[in-house]
Amino acid sequence: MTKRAIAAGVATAALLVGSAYAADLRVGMGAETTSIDPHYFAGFGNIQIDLAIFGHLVNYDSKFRIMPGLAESWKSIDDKTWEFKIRSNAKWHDGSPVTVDDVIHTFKRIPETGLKQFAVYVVDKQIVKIDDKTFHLKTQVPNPLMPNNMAAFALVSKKHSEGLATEDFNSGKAAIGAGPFKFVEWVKGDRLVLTANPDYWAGKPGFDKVTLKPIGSSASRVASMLAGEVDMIEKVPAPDIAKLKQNANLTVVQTPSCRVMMLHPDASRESSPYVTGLDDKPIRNPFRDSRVRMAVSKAINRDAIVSRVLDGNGVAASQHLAPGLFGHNPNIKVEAYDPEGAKKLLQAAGYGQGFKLTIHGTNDRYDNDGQILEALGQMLSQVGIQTKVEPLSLTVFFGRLYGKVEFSLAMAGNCPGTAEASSSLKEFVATFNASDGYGIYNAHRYSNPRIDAIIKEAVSTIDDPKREKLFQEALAAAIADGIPIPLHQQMNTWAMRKGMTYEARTDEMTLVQFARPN
Amino acid sequence: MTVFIIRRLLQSVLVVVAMTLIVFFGVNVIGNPVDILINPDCDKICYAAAMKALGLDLPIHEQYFIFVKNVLQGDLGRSFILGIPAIKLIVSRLPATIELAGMAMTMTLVFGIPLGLWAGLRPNSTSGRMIMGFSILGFSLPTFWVGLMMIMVFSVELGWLPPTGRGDTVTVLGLPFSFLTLDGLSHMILPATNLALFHIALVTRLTRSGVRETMLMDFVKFARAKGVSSTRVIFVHVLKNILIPIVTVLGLELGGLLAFAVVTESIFAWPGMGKLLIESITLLDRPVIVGYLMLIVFMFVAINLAVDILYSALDPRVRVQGSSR
Repeated sequence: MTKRAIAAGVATAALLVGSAYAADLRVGMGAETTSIDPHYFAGFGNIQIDLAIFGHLVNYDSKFRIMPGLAESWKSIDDKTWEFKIRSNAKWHDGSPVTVDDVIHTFKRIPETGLKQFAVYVVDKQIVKIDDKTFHLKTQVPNPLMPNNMAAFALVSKKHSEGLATEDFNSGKAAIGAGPFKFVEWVKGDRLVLTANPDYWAGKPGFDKVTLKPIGSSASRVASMLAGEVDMIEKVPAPDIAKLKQNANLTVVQTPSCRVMMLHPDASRESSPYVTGLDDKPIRNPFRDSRVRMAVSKAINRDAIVSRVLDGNGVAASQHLAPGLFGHNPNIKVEAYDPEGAKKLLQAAGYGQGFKLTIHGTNDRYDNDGQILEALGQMLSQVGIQTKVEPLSLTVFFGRLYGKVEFSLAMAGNCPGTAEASSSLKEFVATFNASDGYGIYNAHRYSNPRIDAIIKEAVSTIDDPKREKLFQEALAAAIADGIPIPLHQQMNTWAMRKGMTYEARTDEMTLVQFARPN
Repeated sequence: MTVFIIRRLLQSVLVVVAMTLIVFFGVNVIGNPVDILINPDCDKICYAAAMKALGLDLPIHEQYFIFVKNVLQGDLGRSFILGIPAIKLIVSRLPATIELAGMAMTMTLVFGIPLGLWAGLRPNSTSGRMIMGFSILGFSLPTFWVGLMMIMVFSVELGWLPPTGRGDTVTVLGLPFSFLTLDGLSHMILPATNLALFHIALVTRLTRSGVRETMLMDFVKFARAKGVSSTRVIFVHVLKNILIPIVTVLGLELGGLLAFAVVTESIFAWPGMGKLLIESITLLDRPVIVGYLMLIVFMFVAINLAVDILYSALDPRVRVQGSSR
């Protein structure tokens, strides 16, 4: 009897303690924050934090579509001028209003700070102050992506950051933003503590106090979730998703990612470094022939990769731009698995007897990337391309892929930074040109003047429907030519304790301001 | 003696120089950090700006000479990713690693020596055999697997101990330590045990073989014949004699504990130097990798030197000569 009473008392006490903590959120993060200075380094773990503390002029919603942020509205006045209006109720954490002077200060600070990675969004734009809350941005050439560009970086306060260095942000001195959370404390590698900003323009966020803990090892992250050490985790690894879904104490939310995996065939060189004939003698590069590229596409059983290798945590892709993003072409169909068709195409191209190939990819960057590569190797071998698989660490892989262009067929993924088709086309499909940024990720070294012309026209067309049509046309032409070969979309997965909610985001971001305690 | 120490110091300078060369050029061969760090929207101009900001636009040998020049002025460079001085970053992670290693070392002594004594004195008993059996497991099971299993059992299933992180800390002399708070201590138990397991097994086996060997020595037989109590024989005569090799090994193991807690720190998200090293390697943060390894080389050289000097002081039969190792 007494024992029972004590047990009941303890249980009640535990419940009370539980509810006292209800407005606190502890999140196990996969990507670590490396700096509080939002302009130092464009790492994933940094951008999610600067969205919480500082805020951007333009935001993305959970479907990766632009929506108003610190700027309440914008419009293009003429081909080369955009007008932005800052929200009247946007305030810095000290209560002072966000003004155009802060935007001017931010534009000045970005090209001088850190790795200068955000400079690309501001250097070609001239800013003209109209009044405290209105400014114009002028460019030399029409820039339809102005709102997307303004979504890429955080605003900092002139009053609180002028003349201050990255260290002052890290210590909290300059970490006065206009975002939903205020900076409390940052212990590098251990925790970042934030507290709700009651005067945030969109209202107070759901949790009063948020602690972000970097837990890089995904197995440990899952274990911390199971042990209740954290309330929510991001980047749940594919093999653990099914187990967490069955757990009655947890909620798992998922959405297909903006990140699409693809294969880059070497489409231009006379002979390709990792292709030989069956007798190991060098042969002419087969991937110059679009029939061979399409044969590779037909040889891939995308549904099997998604259902077997990824346990269903993915979606077969028709093109290297995710559905729902501006410019995606719904008329392009997912290439059906057709090994006989692939063999026929190889025959027609003169490679009926097959050839030897080594494919490359990462084993530490994407979901189950090493196993996917193995599966691809087997599928290609089945249609007569004798394939060896060479997975590499990301530290080695990307420099060799996009920098030195060393591979014959390589797997990589992309989520367009601008949330629409221009980077997918301009960077991956357009003819490589080192000086203007066209084709910088065109590891195929593919060059098609007709597609180039459509892309060039599209990126300077301000009219949205017209631009979207041009993008779709260019995408259809490139995909039909096997550049690149789309594979699948990854799945973004979060797990959290029962009771709280978080809407899964296409852009992979964990934005604590959108987490709710109920 | 002085000549010996000077010689050793000169040798260690050579080791450090060779190490910086290897790491500096090695990291450079792996890849270009800008390829990993770069914003995907970046064009050629932006790429060049990032290269320049990190000093990577110069030829590698010039980068090395600049690095050497700065090191001689006490500057190891700034972390590419965090923008703060590499040495400051490494030192800021040092307390966490030191307390974890210290805890693991304490566990090693507290468990390893008594278990080894027991097993050495009763080699044929069930308990003695069991201790040896477990020590084989401690040796052979991989650290990452044991760590994950410990998390699964003690944190997830039983809910006794927290799985990751460092918990509350108390600042002593300006440094944060977590072994002084109950919460911090509970966070420390699992990673420290995980780290100590291998070393406990090692010390257990060393102690056991030492005990078995020494028990057969004439002076032990003589002491027994003289009627000295067996407690005194074991804890004074035997233990004193077997401790010399154990102390030597432990000295070196301490270096290993400090330098290579990488796996344990990653699994338990313990914010120490090992976790920093792994993060820096995945992002090719060269100044931090080089700085860390230089620190470790210095530490090992210092520990070895101290062990050599102590050894000659402890054992008069060993004479340190200029020509010896």
